[in-house]
Amino acid sequence: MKKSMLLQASVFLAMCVSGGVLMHVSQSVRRAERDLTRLDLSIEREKEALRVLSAEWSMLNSPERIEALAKRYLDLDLPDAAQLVSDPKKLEALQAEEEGILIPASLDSGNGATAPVYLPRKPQKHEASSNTPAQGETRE
Amino acid sequence: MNPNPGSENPPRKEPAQSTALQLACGRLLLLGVVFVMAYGVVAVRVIDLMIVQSASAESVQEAEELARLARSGDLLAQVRRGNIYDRNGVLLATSLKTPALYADPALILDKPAIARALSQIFPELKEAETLTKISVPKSRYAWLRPNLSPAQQDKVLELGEPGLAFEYADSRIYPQGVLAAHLLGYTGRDGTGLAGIERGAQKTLAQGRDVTLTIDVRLQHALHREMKRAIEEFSAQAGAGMIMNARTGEILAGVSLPDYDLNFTSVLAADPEKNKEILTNRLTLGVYEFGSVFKIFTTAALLETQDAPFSMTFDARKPLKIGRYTINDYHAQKRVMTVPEVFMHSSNIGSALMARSVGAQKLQGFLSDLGFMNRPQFDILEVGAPLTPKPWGESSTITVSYGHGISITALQLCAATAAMVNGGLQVHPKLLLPASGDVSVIKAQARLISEETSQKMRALLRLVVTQGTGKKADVPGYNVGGKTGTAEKSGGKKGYNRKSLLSSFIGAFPMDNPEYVIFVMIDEPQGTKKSYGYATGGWVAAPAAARVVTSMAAILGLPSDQYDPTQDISLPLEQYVKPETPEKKKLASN
Repeated sequence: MKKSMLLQASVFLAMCVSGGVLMHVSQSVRRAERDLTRLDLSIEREKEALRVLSAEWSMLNSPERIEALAKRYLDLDLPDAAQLVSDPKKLEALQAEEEGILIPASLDSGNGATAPVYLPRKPQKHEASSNTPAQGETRE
Repeated sequence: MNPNPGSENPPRKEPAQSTALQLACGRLLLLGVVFVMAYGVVAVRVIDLMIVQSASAESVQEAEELARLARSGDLLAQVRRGNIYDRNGVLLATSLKTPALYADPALILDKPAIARALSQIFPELKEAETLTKISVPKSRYAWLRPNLSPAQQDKVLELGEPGLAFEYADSRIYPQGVLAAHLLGYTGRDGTGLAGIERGAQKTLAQGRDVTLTIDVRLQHALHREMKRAIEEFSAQAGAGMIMNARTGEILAGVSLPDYDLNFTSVLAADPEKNKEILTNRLTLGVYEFGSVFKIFTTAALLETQDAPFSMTFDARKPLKIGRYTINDYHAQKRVMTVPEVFMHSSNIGSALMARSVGAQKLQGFLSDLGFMNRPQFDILEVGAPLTPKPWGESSTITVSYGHGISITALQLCAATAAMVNGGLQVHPKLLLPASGDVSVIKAQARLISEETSQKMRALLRLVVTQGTGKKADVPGYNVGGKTGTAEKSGGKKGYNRKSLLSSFIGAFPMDNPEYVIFVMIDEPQGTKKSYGYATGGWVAAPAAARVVTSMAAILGLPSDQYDPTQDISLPLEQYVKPETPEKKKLASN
């Protein structure tokens, strides 16, 4: 009697437990599916946001806009061709001549700089070139 | 459970009664267990719904979006049109989901007010037109405007009108606006490419693959700016400009003016006939008689086929009469000239005589090798076929020698000039940047002229800039060389109109080993006070080219101190050039 009761109870318990486990598994599968869809959705959303942001980035960085902003806020203008030199020593020589010319930090590394160097524009030339193109308009 | 609970414990006394009781007891237990289990299941489900699932479900909105996503199952699978990038990876064209505005007229109460409010948000939506659109009786749909910007959408939402709604669709966005308009082209409303590279690379883009172009937006902008400036300065009608890599034929920048903002092409494309002037790609589709720049090829043909020395002379004392034509010089020298002199003073008579000594057949063959007789192959499909003299008579040889009677595209002109200066190898213009290591797209480069002739052409082109008609194209330190051209456009009394000119400059730099070919063409420029009334290539196009070179130097980081004026390649030619004035003679002797 006791033995059979024990058996019955254990069978009942096993059924309950297996039912519970089955339910848990099915629930977690459903949850995983939902998570997957949600992740897919958010990936899609992020991708779309990235596309929008990269388009915006490209628009904000368009050379036309940057040039206009640089002119307006930084008082920068197009360099004269003669300002671009390959030899940093020219800049040092210029610095020795005139005070107040700063050598760009990148030159101090002394790695045999291959990148060209910008010489400062001469003040009187600045006046002339802001209104007229750089070269020989008055010739002939 | 156990159908006969008594079987294991057999009763000896009152068997019937005890069996019935035990049976009832067992059944009750069974029923109880079933109920307990059922309630247990319900309880577990309630716990699951209220505790387990509620923790992960974030909001109703999320659930709705999930449902929507599930409905349009193909949303994820849908292929988006590929992006277009410049050679440095700057985005030139992309597809974004943008809202389009539509109205449900039945839901709008105050129609005139909404029409007015919409016309304030979108200046191009006329109030009266909108009102008619949203006042159609019994209509439930009125399409109003595509591609709203986020700011515009916000403004529409602020109206709080339930009858205005949005539908989302892929639309093509060009973040750089007008930049490289004709090269990029545009798409129709269904997303198919209709012009430019959008059409040329339609197959790749439609498969969702990205495309990288050879252009550099910085150079493109510099060229665009200077072209625009030249056109405004000389009140010209149109223009075209190009920067090409002299060795590979990669197009670094290409401008055709007037141009248009690519984000608003639907209006223009709706009426292509009316907007032809704006939509025409003057670099690849338009064919022109370029005039004197053609003397580059006549001279190269002479040097290459006749092995002519620079000292060869041509009598340009009198106008040349061929049949009913009389050929005059614009910059008349009225003397016997050497090859460099003919080239630098751009003598028509000299060039005509050069062509004569080359011979019609050889000249034709040479021009055909340069690709001037056939429609060129290009990554863009809008390519014009050249107009060549048919039949080719004696007068054709003469007129072609100085660039009349033959119309070619700017693309062909640039490619051929690149071949003249790069050491003599043919170049194939490219707009699609080949992936690094991809050799399948590299076409064989035929030799068009010998290295020696190319070296001579470099010296001649440099001479034009140091002493000839192209002085204004010089940028100190950059060793620019080139040739100016001023063609009278066809039309008018004698077949040509003296007043409407096509002024151009084609050049290259640095001239001792050219890397870049630069082309500037201004259509119908008007002389200004500053140019003393001149509207020739030397006055109009050459200065613009110089400004482009200056900008390029800054953008590409080309230093100005790599050029040694005492080693200039045009110096050896000076012995063949007669100094013009005593003053210049003095300078030359120094």
